[in-house]
Amino acid sequence: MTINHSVSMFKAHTEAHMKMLEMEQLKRKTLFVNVVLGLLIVPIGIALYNYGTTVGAILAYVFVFATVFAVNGVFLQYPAVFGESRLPMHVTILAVYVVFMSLVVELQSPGVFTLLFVAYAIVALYQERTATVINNVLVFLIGMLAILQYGDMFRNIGVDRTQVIDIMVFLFIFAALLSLTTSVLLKRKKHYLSQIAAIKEDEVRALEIVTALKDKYRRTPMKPEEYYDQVAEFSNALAEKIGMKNVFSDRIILMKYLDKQAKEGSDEAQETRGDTAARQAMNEVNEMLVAPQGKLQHIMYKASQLAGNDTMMASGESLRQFPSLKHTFDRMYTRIIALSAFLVVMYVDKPYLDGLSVKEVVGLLQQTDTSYLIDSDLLTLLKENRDVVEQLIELALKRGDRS
Amino acid sequence: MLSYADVLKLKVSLVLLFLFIFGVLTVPVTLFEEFSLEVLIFLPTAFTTLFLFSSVMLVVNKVRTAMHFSIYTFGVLTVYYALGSNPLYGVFLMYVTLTIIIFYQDIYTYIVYGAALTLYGLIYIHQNGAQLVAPDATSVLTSNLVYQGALMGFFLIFLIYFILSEIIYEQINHDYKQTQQSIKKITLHVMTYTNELRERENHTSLHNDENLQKAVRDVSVFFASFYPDEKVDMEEYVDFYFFLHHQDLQAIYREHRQTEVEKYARELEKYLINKPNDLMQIHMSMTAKFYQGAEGAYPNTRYEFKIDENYRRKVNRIIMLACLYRYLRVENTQYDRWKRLEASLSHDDIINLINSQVFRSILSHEEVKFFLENHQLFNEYLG
Repeated sequence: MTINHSVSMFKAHTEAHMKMLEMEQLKRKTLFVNVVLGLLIVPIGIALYNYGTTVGAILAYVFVFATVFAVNGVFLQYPAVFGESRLPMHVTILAVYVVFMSLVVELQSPGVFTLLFVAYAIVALYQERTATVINNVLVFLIGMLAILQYGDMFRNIGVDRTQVIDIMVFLFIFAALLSLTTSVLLKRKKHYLSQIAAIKEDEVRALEIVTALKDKYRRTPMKPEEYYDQVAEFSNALAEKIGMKNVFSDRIILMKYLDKQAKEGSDEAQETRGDTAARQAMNEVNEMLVAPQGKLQHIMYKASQLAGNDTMMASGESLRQFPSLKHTFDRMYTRIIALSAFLVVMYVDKPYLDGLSVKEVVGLLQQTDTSYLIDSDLLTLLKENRDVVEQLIELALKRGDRS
Repeated sequence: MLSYADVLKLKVSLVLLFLFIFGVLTVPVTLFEEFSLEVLIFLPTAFTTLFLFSSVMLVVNKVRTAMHFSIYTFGVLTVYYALGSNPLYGVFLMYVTLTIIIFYQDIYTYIVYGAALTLYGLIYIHQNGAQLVAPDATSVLTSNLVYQGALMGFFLIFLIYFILSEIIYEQINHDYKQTQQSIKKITLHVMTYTNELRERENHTSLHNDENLQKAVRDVSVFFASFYPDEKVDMEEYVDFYFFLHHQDLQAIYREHRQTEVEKYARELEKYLINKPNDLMQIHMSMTAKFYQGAEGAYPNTRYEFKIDENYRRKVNRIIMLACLYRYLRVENTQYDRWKRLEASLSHDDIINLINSQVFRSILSHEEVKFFLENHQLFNEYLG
């Protein structure tokens, strides 16, 4: 596996995680939007009744709401049905504007026109890029249509033909300001999501590194079979205590067998035939293996590090305080030492990774958001002089060219 | 990525620019409308004064004050229009002003000013209701209720919008902080193992390696040559940097309180290479990117460490709990008194750990209950 491959795998994992986080957030927002829509049913019903709307028309509104709730209910319960598509969100946006446009057309009152702002607010709850674009287009189009087609409702309260243009200007200002607001919010949200996705992958990789190092450090190799034997004895005693058949033993035997196979280099642990359920069950068992570098090792290692750490949640950095090599009040020479020490430490061979050349580090920095990481002047200097810096490190460490 | 303060400054600048254009284009025209003399004199004067004050605050970098005054300026503009010939403009401008407040994306500002404006709007619609509906309207009351309901609904829905953003941000922030703490601890362990393994191969630990010190010195002197105006001698500064690696920094801070020594030491502390500080965390993060990570597709549980999220079957979860107990009891995962990773946890330590709140990130309540009910068996067979 090459270094480039490692970096691209890192990216692939973080991008996949970002998508998953976005989907989780979308589910939560969908819930909020539906609660708001649910709360609006009663006041809309009362308004329609007071304006003397027919029962048939009211039922049509009920049908639209019911469809929206049904689609979103399926989405919340079984998100896999829709894959990566945002169909439930688009259906909801369309339905919201259909309802509010119908209200404007049916009631033709300037008061009802302001309900378009409410429709805009509901859709804005999604805080999502395509939703924002659709929201702006629809509020503007429907607003214009209402003004041009049903302008009488404004003229009836003393707004003349030229003043109707003022209402369009209001609508434009309203939509422009809110789009700007949402775009700022979306940009920050994307930044936060990318940071959390990256740090999560950092943690998994760091766990892989530390468990590999721990294995290297121990003087006698880890013996997974001792784990299985002791867990088997424990399961016997447990079954006896609760007076039931030992349902664990088969699983433990299988784990022991798979662990042995994996150790001997057989692919059987990875290759599983059968239907999806069987494969999922087998994957779960594969993730239970005690062997070093398995998922279980990461869980156990992380768990061990929580000891004496109950106050952990109260302290720590926040998203606005990233580790950095250029803190605000640092003098330039301090920043220089920080960058130099960083480059040299990266260059040195580690028990888990060969040292990285200045060229490789600069290459990675170019793909990273370095605005909070390294002084921009120093970064420019480094890019322009990376060969000199590489040579200085090489000479001092008395090593040959590694790039 | 701009900082929060920079973004706010940009927003205030945009709002003031917008206010200027809007004010210049509309206020002179409205002077011909049917306002009372007091209104014609007082409100444009108040608008101009507040606008100028906001601009001055922005220039002198009092950005939050400028933000508040830009909102007051818009408020004055709204009142000015509301007192004009057509109340509909007043209502629309209330939405625009709410939008401006939303634009600042500060939940407390929105609650205070947004609620005040909405309240004013509700009273205003109540008092001017007859002019806001057509003469032949069937029900003035219903029409006004629609106006009021829409304004109230708009305010409340955007309040939910803010709460939703805050919840999401807080959750991400909390997750980030916890992960950062975890990485910090792992970084310390990686450093310990690395130095121990280097010593086994008869190498000194990183910060004591003279070649490494020379490399840092040479590169620093090279970069410093581009900044001839700095008054500090770079070679001496690098020596001081490596000297700090062997010192009790708290003692230095006490002995040299409010001196240059303390200032330099505090600046450099973040970049020492024998502590899991900023530099070593960035180093960990960068090497992690180059490390040969696990192959294969992305599973949804890749970043999930809770037993019940990873293992759906109860039988599997109990086996995992047993493995976890055994690991905590026999594996050397804790520092001993010589600061080596050679200690493990006792049965009582594990009970305390499993009972702690922070361990909910690994075990669910159900698993904790199961463990506590059977902890003697765990101790007897897995200890």
